[in-house]
Amino acid sequence: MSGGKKDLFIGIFIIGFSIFIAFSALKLGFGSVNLPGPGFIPFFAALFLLILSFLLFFNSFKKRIVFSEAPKSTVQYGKIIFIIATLIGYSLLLDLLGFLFITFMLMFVLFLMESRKTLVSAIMGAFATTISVYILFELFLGVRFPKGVFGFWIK
Amino acid sequence: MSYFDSILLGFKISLQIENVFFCFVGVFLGNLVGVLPGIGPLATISLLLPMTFYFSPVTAVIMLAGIYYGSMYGGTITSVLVNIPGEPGTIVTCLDGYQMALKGRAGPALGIAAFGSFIAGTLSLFGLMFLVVPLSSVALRFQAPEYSALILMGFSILIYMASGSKLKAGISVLIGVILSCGGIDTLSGKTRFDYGLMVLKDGMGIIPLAIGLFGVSEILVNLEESKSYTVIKTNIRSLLPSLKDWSVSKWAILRGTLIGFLLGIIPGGGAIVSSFVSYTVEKKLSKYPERFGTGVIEGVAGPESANNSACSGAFIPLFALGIPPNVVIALLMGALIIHGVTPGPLTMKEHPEIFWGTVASMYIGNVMLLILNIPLIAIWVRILKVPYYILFPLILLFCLIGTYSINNQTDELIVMIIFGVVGYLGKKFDFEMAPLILAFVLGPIFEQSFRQSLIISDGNFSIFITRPISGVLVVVAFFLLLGSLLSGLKKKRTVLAR
Repeated sequence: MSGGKKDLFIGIFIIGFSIFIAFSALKLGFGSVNLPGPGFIPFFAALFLLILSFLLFFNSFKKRIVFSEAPKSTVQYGKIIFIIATLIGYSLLLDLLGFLFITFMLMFVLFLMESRKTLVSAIMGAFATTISVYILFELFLGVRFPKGVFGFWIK
Repeated sequence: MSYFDSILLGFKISLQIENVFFCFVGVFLGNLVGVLPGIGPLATISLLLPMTFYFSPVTAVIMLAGIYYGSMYGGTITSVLVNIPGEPGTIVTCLDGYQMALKGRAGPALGIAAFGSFIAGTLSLFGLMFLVVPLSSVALRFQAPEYSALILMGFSILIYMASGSKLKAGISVLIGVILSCGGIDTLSGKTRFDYGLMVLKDGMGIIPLAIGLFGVSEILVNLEESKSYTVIKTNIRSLLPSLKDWSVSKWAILRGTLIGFLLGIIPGGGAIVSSFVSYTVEKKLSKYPERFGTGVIEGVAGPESANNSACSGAFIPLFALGIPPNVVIALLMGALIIHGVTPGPLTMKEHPEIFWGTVASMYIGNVMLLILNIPLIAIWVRILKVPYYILFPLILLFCLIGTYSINNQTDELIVMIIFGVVGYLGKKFDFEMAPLILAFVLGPIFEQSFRQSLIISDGNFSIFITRPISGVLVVVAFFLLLGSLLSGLKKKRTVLAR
């Protein structure tokens, strides 16, 4: 994506965001100049943000005239999306499946994803990491991790 | 309490076994993450912030500060041996450091960087000790209008000093301010921007935000392309620079120390800017400027001293005014606030052990770093070879655990992931994230003091101009914003002309 197109998209997004915040701030109560309410600063911050995002939006047209198309990106977005989805899955299932099981699964997937190593080495790496982290954080530092449905055997 | 008594108190605290241990942990980790190009002090401090809840405030700051200045030492190793800066503050070291390594002089390059950093770190601590006390007594005269004007000036400096687009830096600052407005309003008691979500009831937490923006996003960016590093094969016989090396480097070290210290104080300045300024100054003052970039030892000594000295200077606005000049210090401020200590002019009176303990620990930490750096260089080089496919799952796991352990809430993990994506997209769309997080930390102080000023003056905005200190600060802020606008226009005109 060229610099101009990037700025155009992000400009539109921030315009929408600033309008949304400005209306939310007005609902909170703007107050008055001698007694500013809880929406006072967010409203003005959103207003200035709206002005700057309009500038970004209009600047993007000038950039598009000046520059030709940027070379095609070789970024593997599939990998990035996969990591984000894995992290979301981990967050949603942590309470249900418990720290030990879900962390082992996460580490197994991540080790296997990039290293292209054998299943056995990925399993061993995931197992060693999960146990070490559990000992360090739960037993030494006192962090209480969720035990989940597989945690019946943990005291 | 006299200076002597205060320094004694500092050493008494920093030499407690627990504090010496965590100072070592901090500088060791700092050195380690400085060596590893994929992770920096910011992500490390964000990750370890929740762990410090189990420590006393002074131990927490000693460890986190150790990571900060320790990373500057570590970053040099990759700059010299791999030509990849481990830290943004060591970018400029690549220019002459790597060339020295190619000529078989990696040892003196690393040695002068370590000794220069040690000298700069030690000298700048004197500056820190003697400047904070008088500055904090001036700051005691600050009231709401002065605070809001000071923070306004801080925002303007952030925009002015932005390395990329000033317009985008301004947008980052405003988004940071808006995000900081969430949670309970201290003046009216009303809950704001929670949208019925429990996780937003108390406002956005700094830890999920920082870990997301700097930890997760960094990994996503690094995963885009498989990186491999080639460490040059050089025989490091001795790290001790020769007498000739010392004689040409001594003034560069002293100048770098002064430049770093002064630029470290300015919001938005810090290690990166000071190392570049030091390099430029050395080149200008040199009898042979044309040789810079070909392996000149002053080109390493000056910037390396400057980046380390900037780390000490950055503590001045934090302890004297309660204003963090850069994002790492903002995280340290966040750590202190979580511990119930609000840094500012009263810190010296109310918590002298925190300030003096931290300063004394920095002396000890600098000695530790010198010892760690020189004999352990072979180990650091070996660490450089750890493949990223082993590192990144571990870093991601620490991101998740670090965020979860604050309140044991899985919702905060989602907030962290969202900001990880925001940080990643920010990098793709050329937005700097440092102004956002600084504005997020400063936002609540700005909002409260701004609204209080308007209440005091009965809605009269002239209160910010008629009071001498705030008047000067507002004028400076205005000129900085004007400067940013003009430089933006000039840049655009140049581009259009091309």
